[in-house]
Order: sequence, then C-alpha cells, then structure tokens
Amino acid sequence: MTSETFSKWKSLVSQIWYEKEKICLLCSRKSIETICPECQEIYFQPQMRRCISCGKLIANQGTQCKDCLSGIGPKGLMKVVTLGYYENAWRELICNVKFKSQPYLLLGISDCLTELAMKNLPPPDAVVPVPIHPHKLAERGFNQAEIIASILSNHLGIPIKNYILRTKNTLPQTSLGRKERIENLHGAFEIKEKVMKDEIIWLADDVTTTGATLEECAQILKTNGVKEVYGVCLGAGKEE
Amino acid sequence: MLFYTLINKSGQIRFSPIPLVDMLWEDSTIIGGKLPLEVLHRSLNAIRLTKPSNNTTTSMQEFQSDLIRQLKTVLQKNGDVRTENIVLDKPLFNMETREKYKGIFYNDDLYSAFLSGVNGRQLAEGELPYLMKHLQCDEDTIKILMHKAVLIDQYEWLPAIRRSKGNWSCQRCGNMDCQEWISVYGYAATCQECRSIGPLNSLQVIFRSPKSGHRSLFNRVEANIFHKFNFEFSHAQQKAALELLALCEKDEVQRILVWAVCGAGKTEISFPLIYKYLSEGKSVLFAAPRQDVVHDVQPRLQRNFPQIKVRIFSGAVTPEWEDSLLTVATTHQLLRFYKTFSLILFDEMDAYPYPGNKVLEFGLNQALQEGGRLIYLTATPPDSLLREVKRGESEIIRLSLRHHGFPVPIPEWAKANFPDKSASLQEILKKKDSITWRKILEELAEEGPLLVFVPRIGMVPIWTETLRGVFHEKQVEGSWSSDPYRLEKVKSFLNGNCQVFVSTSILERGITVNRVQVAVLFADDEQYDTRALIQMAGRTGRTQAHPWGRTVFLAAKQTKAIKKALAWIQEQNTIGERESFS
Repeated sequence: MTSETFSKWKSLVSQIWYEKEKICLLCSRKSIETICPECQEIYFQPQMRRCISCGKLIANQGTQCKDCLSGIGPKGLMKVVTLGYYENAWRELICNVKFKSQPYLLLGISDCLTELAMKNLPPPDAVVPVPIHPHKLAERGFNQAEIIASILSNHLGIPIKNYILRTKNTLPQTSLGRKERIENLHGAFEIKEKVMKDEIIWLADDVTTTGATLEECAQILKTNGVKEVYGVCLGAGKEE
Repeated sequence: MLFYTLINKSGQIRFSPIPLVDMLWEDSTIIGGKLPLEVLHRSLNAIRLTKPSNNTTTSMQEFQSDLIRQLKTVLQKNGDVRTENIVLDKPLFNMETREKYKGIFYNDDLYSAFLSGVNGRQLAEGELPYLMKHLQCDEDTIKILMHKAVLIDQYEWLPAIRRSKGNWSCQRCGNMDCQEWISVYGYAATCQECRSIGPLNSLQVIFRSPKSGHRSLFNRVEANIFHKFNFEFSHAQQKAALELLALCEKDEVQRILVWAVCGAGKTEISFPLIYKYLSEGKSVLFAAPRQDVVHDVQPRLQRNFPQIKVRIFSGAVTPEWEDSLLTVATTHQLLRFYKTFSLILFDEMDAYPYPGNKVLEFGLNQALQEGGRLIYLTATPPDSLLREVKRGESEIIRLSLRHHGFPVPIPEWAKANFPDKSASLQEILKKKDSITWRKILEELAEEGPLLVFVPRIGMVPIWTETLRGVFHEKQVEGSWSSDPYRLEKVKSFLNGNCQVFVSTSILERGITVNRVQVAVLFADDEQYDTRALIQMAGRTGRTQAHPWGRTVFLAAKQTKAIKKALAWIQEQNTIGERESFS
C-alpha cells in the first residue's frame, strides 16, 4: 500500500471515528464549532437584550433602545433579531464577506443564524433579501443579504422572494448620520414583483445600525399588502 | 471591473472597461452589456465564428448578429449568467465626454507619469485607488490611461483568476487551489493564498505588461567601483565581490549561492554588482522573507546609492508608486511585480515563511525578467540548494571570515529547567530553578544589550513581564511577527533605548546591534532547528568595535540541532581561519 493510499484511508477512518476539529472563524483557534464558545460570548453577547424595533444591543431591561423609545427608530417592523455586535472580529468577518469576495464564509455561521431566527421569530411565508443596486451587484457578483436569505431558506424550507428592487445607487450608509441615512434611502426601493397579500415576511440583511434600510423596505412591503415584517441581521450597533 | 465587448470594422473583437476610448482609437461598435473579463474570455472560447468574407456593411452586420446570438446562447446554455444582472446601459458619448476623454488620452505628461508608476508592476483592482491618489486623478482618468496602454500593446488586462478544465488558477500568485463560490455570473473563485496583499477574485482583473521593461538612469560604469561606497571592504569581502562580478560576466551563470558566515557582510559583497547593473540601467531587487531584514537593508542601500531612490515594499509600509531601478521588498510583496528585475539578490532564503511556500517561490520567479540572474545570500543554505550546487546547476561563492576578521563566537549550552511553556508569570518566578537562568541572563545583560529568544508568540508577553521583574533598571520590550508596534519596538532596541528584548524568531536574522548578547530560552524546542540556532548565535560579535559576545542556549538537554549548530559554527571558523592565512 503506498503512503498516499494509506493516508487517505487514515483520514477516512478518522472521519468516521472522530468529530472533525474546526478552526474558529473569528479567532482561528481550534474549536468544535465554527465559532468557538468564547467568541460567541464575546461577539454575540447573548446576555444583552436586543431592541425589538431596530435590533441594537441594549443593556437595560426594557424591550427598546432610547432612540426607538423616543420615536425616532423604525416603526414598520414587528421585531428585529441580530446575531452579534458589529465590532472587531465579527465586523471583520462581515467585511471579508462583502468587500473581500469571501461569501462562502457565511456558510460557517448558518447554524447560529438559523437558530437565532427560529427561536425568536414566528414562522414566515417567505424570506426577502434587502437588495443592492444592480450596478453594485454586477461589480461584486453577489448580494450578501441574498446569501443570508438562502441559508435561512435552505435550512428551514422557506421560499425566497425577491420582492424588492433597489432603484437608487445610494451612498454607503456608514458615512452618514441618522437623518441623512433616512434621506439617502428615500425612494431607493421599488416593488419588483407582485406581493402576496397578508404574508408574514422575514427581511434579511447583513448589518443594521439605525434600522433605516430595514424600515424603508418594510414600509414598501406593507404598503403592498404584507401583513407583518420581521428583520434578521448578522450585526448591529450597541447602545452605550 | 466589468468589460464591454466591442467589434471593429474588420471584425476584430476587443474587450474594454471604457469603450469610448476604443471608439476614439478606431471605429468600433459596442455589443451587449458589461460582464467580467473571465466570463467573456470563456464564452468567446466556446463559440465558433466565421470571419466576415468582406468588409461590406451587410456581411459585418451578419457577423455581429451571429456573435451576439452565439454569446447569448453560451451564457444562457450554461445557466452561468443570470442575464437580468447584465448591465445593459450603454455609456453616454456626447461631445463634452468625447473632448474630456481625448484630452486625457493625448496628454503625454500624464501618460508618462502613469507609466512611471506602473513600470514593472502587476496591478490588482484594489490598488487603483492608491494609484489614483498618487496621480491625483479620478477613476475614469485612470481607466483611460490603463486602457490606452493596452490599446498600444504595452500592457494587458487579464482575468485575475482563470478557469481552465474545471480548475481555477490565480494569475497573480499561481495558486491552483482557489475557493469557489456562486456569483450572479455562475461559478466564481477567490484566491486564498495572496490575499495578504489584497483580495482577488475571478470577477476582477489584473493589469500588467507582458514584456520585461526597464529604463536607464545611469549611463556609465565607474572605473573603480569599490571606491563608491561608504565603508571599507575587508580583503575577504573584496575577493568575494570580485568573484561575484566575474561569475556574472558569464552568460550561462544564472544562479549563484553566496554562502557567507553570519556577520561576514554578505549584503555589502553584492554592492559592486548592484552598482554595475544600475550603471547599465538594469533593475535590481533586494528581497528577503522577513520585514525586519528588509527595513534594515533599505537604509544601508540608500546610503551607498544616494544617486537613486531605493524604494521599499513590505507589509508595514504603504506601497510606493515612484519608479526606481533599485527596490527592496519582502517575498510576499514580489507578487506585485511581473518580469521586472534583471537581478534579484535573495537574502535569507531559508527563513520562514519562504521554505516550502510555492506561492512565494512563484512570485520570486515571476518578478525576474527572462534571462535574469538570481543570487542567493545566506549563512545557512538549505540542503536542496547545496544539492543544486553539487549538480552544477548553481555556482557557489564561500565566505567564512567575518568582515572584521574575528571568528563567530561559539555558543554555550547551559542546563536550565524551565517551567512549562504555558506557565504564568507567577509560576515562572516561583520555580526554584529560575536561579540558574536568572543568573546567566544577568551576567549577559552586564556585557551589553540582551536579546532573548523564545519559541512561541504566546511566551513573548509573559517573558517580557518576567524579565521586567528581573531587570528593574533596564528598559525591557518584547515583540513578535503580528505585533502592531513591532517596527517601533525593534527600532528602540537597535538604537539602544531598550536594553533587553524578548523576541520570537523575527530577530534571528539580518540585524546588527553593537555589543549584543544572546540567550535562547527553551533551546531544545522543536521549533529551533540547526539553522535557526546558527542564525541566533550569529547576532553576537558583528561589529568592528565589539567583535565578540556570548550566546547561551538554555535548555534541559542538548538536542541534535544544538550539537549540529555548534559543530557547524566551529567548522566555518576553521575554514575562515585557513582563509585568513591564504
């Protein structure tokens, strides 16, 4: 038996007998999960509540952040769930997906994401990705929100519907303040295909900070007959 | 970057990111929408076109329709491209735009500045904003200049990653194991190997010149080139430098190994040869796998070649855009060059991460012009290179005498029982055996600056803290490869502001500190092979003012590597002694 054949057999046998060791996507240490328990604790901060209106991480015992309590947050969503605090290694991972052509990294977080949505949201009729502008899609080659939606769709058997079209190539939201974000997105979306009446929709996106994008999409869906809209995002801001 | 397909009057097909430039260049028509170059190349290879029999309008129109129909079929048949995502809007071509583009296209000064910035480089899309900043121009201008260079056949666009027979290969680094994913254009891929110098995927392009190119800055060779430098060559150095020049006169000699003992001044040996190449207007690269070596060598070269700007490429500095005949770079940065250098001096080729790294080897060979010369400089050549010399595939020059004529201090081994490698600060200090190593380190620190090597990154902060507790009066620092403050910390050790420095293997090569003493903790660790130990020991006694010093290998036992390192240094010293009398 050649050494190559032997090592193939060895690897096959070890796959049967032992659980394969993974490397944590965030800290690169060996782990039994794709994101190790320590990193989940650091970046997902499960002890912190999420604002139900915009998904921001909040330290208080209430259900909403200060902005949403004061009425300047989004109003069109029933609830927004977010996986982690958009900072440090978690932010880097999302940026690697979006700007460094590594959409496949999202596969590593599919279990966490599915569990988050399943545990916190009612069953939907469809999952809708927040669209990016066709020119941006053409350059980048993929829409990260569509991958998030397809992960949820594959794991939970929910259909994906591309109900919305982005008609305005807006400035990146990160460079703008709250008021400018809302103005920037005004009229940026249109309904692309006929919306089924009274549906419950999960709206998927990568990051939410003020919730302005989710709100704009939710309003358009609701105007066109959707009953309830829930947001699912990977990263969110934190209330200081 | 996405490309339009254009067709000219004689039926020639061209791909362009800025088609108005093509239309200024020659009469041509845009067909279809924008797509990635890789998709266009692949689709064009899959269709069969019959060239128009004549140049009549009818036959050209038929040819165009046939091309569009076949391209559409290919794209749709493979289910590759979600056709709704093809951007179909054609660019506006009004008089104002035409005049603006013409102005840029025919601006010779701007084009010269652009060529000077990209000379010998292979550019990824991610580098364009930096080039734009350097030339102080917008995206359209840079695209016009780039495409002009392509139209006049000086440069070419290439898909950054190509698919052939189901395999993806990165055109920048040669990696064949790219990560595949599904894009709106079907399968796409991202290269994992060269992402440290910027991510690259198959929807992007690279821009480079297929030809070797260099421009002459000096015009004549000085009669006595040994008088050009700001140091005196020792007799042995001069002999080796002349030998090197003589070997490089022979066209058939393409590879030379300069095997010089640590501290022999092997970098300086190459200076006359560098001068000769520069005098002939040929481009020279000094490369090394480690940042620290590169940052140490650049100022030395700059001092000795003041007529020229010695540009530097390393992960710690922003890439430079000024063209120069003399470049210093880490091996990772070589992937930014294509057939650029006539001469590459490759220092410390046995240092991590180069050995066994196919991508870095590819980058080195790719940066060398066809017929260029590669010179390896090392104190510890790998066995593979020594075998190459034996087979006659490489020439060899040996230099076993240090530049000041003194031998390399023979290291000592001292038995030391350290606590576990993951031990905390308290555990290290509590351990009774700490008296042994403390005493040795204190002795060494009395003699001069102390360089302490540890085998793991995680041990640097702990041992730095430990030694701060031992040397209250001294400044103690520590650093490792990914330390963001590495450059500043190393500088403070080199200029004497810090007296005790804890380091991983990052400082085992290429640095010279007057009166330095060396301690290798856990010297029996598997991380330390013979070559690493020789290099660490080679830090002592390098200067004329202090040609002696001590190296102590602290370990529980003498490993084979330790014994071999001691024997190797002893042997080199014996040869050196013989040379000094010859």
